[in-house]
Amino acid sequence: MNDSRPVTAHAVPIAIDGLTVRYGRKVALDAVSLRVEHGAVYALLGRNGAGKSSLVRCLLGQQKPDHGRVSLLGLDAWRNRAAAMRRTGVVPEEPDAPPGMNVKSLAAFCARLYPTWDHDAVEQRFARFGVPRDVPFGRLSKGQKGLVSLALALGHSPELLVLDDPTLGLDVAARRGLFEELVGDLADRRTTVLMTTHDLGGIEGIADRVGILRDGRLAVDEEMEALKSRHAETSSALEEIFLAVTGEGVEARR
Amino acid sequence: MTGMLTLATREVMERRTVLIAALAAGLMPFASPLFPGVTAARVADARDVMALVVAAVLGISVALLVGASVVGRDLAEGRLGFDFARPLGGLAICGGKFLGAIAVVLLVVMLALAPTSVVGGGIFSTSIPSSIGPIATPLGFMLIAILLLVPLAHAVGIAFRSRSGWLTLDLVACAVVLLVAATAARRLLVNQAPRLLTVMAVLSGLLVILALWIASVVQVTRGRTSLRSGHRAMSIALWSMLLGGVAVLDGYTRWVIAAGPEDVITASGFSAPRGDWAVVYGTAAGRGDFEPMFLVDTASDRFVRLGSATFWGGVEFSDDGSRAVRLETVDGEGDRFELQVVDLDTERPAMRETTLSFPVERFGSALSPDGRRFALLQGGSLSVFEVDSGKTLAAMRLPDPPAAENVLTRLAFQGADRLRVYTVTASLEIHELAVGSRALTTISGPAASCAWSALSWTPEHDRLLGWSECAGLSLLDGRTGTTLVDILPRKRFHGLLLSDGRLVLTGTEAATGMLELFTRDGVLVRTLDLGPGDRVVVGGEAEPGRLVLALVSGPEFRTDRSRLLLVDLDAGQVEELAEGLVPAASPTRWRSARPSPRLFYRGTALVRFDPRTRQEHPLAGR
Repeated sequence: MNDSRPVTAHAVPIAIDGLTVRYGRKVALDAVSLRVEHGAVYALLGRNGAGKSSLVRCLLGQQKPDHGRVSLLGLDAWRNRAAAMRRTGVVPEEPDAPPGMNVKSLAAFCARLYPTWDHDAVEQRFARFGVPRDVPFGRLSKGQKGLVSLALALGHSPELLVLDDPTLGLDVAARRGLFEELVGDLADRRTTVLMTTHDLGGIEGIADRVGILRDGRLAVDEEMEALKSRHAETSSALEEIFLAVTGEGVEARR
Repeated sequence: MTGMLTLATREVMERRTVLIAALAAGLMPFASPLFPGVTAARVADARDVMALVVAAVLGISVALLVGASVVGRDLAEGRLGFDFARPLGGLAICGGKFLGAIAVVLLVVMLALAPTSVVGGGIFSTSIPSSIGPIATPLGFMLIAILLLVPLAHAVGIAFRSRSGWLTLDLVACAVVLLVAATAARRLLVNQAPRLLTVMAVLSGLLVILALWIASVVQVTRGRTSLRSGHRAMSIALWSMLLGGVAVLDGYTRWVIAAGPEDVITASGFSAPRGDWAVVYGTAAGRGDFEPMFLVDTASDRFVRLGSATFWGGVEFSDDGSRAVRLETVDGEGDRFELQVVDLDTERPAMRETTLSFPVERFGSALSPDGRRFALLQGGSLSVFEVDSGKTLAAMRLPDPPAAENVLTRLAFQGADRLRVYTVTASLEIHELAVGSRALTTISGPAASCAWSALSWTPEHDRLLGWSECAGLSLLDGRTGTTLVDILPRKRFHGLLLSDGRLVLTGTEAATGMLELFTRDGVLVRTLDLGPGDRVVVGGEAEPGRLVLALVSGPEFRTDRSRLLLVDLDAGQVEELAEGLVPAASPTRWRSARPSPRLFYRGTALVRFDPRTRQEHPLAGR
C-alpha cells in the first residue's frame, strides 16, 4: 500500500450492517451483516435466490438497500459509488462489456477512466489468456469474456475485487485460467476479494472465510478452516458442508 | 467531465455504421433530376428539398431509435453494470450516454446534408418563415426535435421494457396531463388569446423537454442498473413535473379569464342608450393578448363577464337598456356564433345562452327596443328571431343582396314589429320588413359615384347623415333615403345627429375648435368657436340640446391635453367641465349605442363622469 491512497485506505474493505432488501413483500436479504478484512478472500455461497446477487448489487452501489448500511473501502456504497469503484475491480456474473467494442478498445476505454491503469499488465494478461484483441467482445466465447472481464477488473490494481459467480458457464480451462490469475494476483498484492460462486471446489483452496446465505439470512459466516473443523465429523469438503447448511444435503439423502 | 466525454465518444463509436449510412443517404438527393416533374431549372431546389427531407427523416428515425436504446437496451440486456462498475458518477454515465446519442443524431443530420451542402452552398442556413424567429432554420427545428425525441423515446422505451405496473400509471398520468393541457389551451382559444396560447404552448413544450431530460437523469442516477427502479424513479419525476406544470397552466389560464374590471390596464367602453350599464373592455395585467370584456353597472360597479373582446361578436343593448345580447364564438375559432343574453334589470344579471346560433358570415344585426327580438342579416338572408324561445319569426332573402362582406349595413327596429335594413354600397338601399306579416318593402335611395360611409342617424332613424369621398356630407330622410340637403364637403368635420334631429358638425380650423349647428332640414343656424385645440371629440347629449365634447391640443391624441366642454346649443354658451377627460365615443363599434355623455377616458382609464354634478368615478384601467 502506498501513502497516496485516501484516508479510507485503512478502513475495512467491506462492512455490511443490517442489510435488508425487499422486492414487494418478498424479503431477499434480511438484516445481513458481514465484514471482510484486508487481504481476505471471502466466499459468499448460497443457493439460487438466496440473495447473493442482491447483496453484490448493494455492495457495488447499484441498488439502494431498503435498510442497513453498506460500506466499501470506508465509503458509503450508494452515495460514493464512483469513488469506491476507482479502487474496486468487478467481475460480473454475466460479462457486460459493450458487445461492439473489441478487447483493445475496451482496454483503452478503461485506461481513460483509471489513473492507475497498468497497460502492460493488462496486455500481458490478455496474452496469457490467449484472447484475440481485435475481435468484438460480443463475438468472444463465454470463457474468453470472463477472462477479459477479469483482466479489465485487475487493470487498475484494485484494493478490492468483487467477483459475482465469475466461473458460471465457463469450461474447465477458462475456470482454471481465472483461478490461477486470481491466485497470482492475491500472492502479489494481497487484494481483498469477495466472491460469490457455485464453484465450491475452485474457491476451497483460496478462500479464507466463508459466508452462506440461506433464505436471505447469513446462516454461516466463519473462517474456512474453522468451518471445516466444525464439520470434520461429517465431511471435510466445502460442498458437503454447503449442502448440509442449506438443507439440500438432507433432501438428497432422503 | 472526462468520464462523460469518454463515454460519449464510446457511444458514437459504437454507432459509426449509422454515420456511414447517413453519409450514403446524403447522396440520394443527387438523383432528384431523375424524378418526374423536376425541370432543369428546378434541379437545385429539388435537390435541397430532398436533402432536407432525407435529413429530417433520418434524424427523427435515428433520434427515436438511439433514444430508445442508448440506456434502455443496456439496462434490458444487463449491460449497464459495466459502466456502473467504473469510477463514473451517475450524472457522468447519464450525460455521456445522452451526449453521445445527441451527437450521433446531429452527425447523422449533418452528414445527410453534407453532400448537398458542398454542392449547393447555404442549405444549413436556409430559413423557414416562422414567428419563432432565430431558430426558424431546418437545423434549428431539428435540434429542438432531437432534444424532444431522444428523451421521449428513452422514457417510452424504459416504460415498456420494465413491464411494471408503473406503465399503467404512466398512461393514466399522460392522459390526465393531455386532458388538462387541452382544456387550458381551449380556454385560451375560446377566449381569443392566440398569442398567449402560443407563449403557453412554447413554455409547455420547453417544460416537457426539460421534464423528460430531468426524468431521464433521475432514471439513470436513481435506478442505476435496475430497470424497474429506474422506471419508478423516472415516472415519479416526470409526472410530478408535468402534472405540476399543467396544474400551474390550468391555474394560470383560469386566473387569466377570471379577470375583473379592476384588472384592466387600458380600458375602452361604450354605454347603453339608457340606464347605467356599459360595456367595458381592454388589456389586463399579466394576461397577454386576452382582452376581457364586461358589462359594468357604472352606478354600482357590479359586472358580468362577457369573455373576450378580441374577436368582436358585438354587444347590443335594447333601447330601454334592460337587455344586452352578444354574439359569441362557439368554438373559439370563429366559425359559428351563438347568441347570448343578459337581462340587466334583474337582481343578479348573468350571461345565459340561447338556442340561437349562426354561421360566421354576418352583415348586420339589431335588437328590438324591448330586447325580445333579434334580427340578423347574413349573406343576403334576413331573419328575425324571438330571443327567449329561439323561434324564427321571419326569414327571407333580400332582393339583390349585397355581395361584399364589407358592405356597410345597418339594421334598425322601428318598434317591435318593423325592421328597417340599410345597405350601402354605391347607392343606399332601404328595406322595411313588417315582421308580423313578413312583408318586405324595398326603397332605393340616392346613388353615389363612390361608396358611402360614416352614417350617423337619429334614434328614430328618420334622419341619416351620410358621407362619401365625392359627394361630401348629405342629410337624408331615413325612411325614404331621399337627400334632404347636401352640406359642404367638410372632410375634417365630424357629424352627429342630435336626438331631436338637428345636426351638429365639429372640427378644427386654424388650431381652433369649431361647432356648427344645423336645423333638422340642414340649415345652418349657429357657428361656435370652442377655443384653441387641434381635435374635437364629441360625446353625447347630457340632456337635450346640451352636448358634451372634448377639445384636445397638440399633434398627438393625448387625454391629458384635453378640455372637456359642455355646449348649450340653444344658448350658444360653452362651459368647461374638467381637464384630462375625453368622451368614450367607441367609433369602431358603430352598431352600438350612441356616443355616451357619461363614459370618458382619463389616460388609459375609463371613468364615469356626471356633467351635471362633475363627479368622477373610475370604472376600469390604470
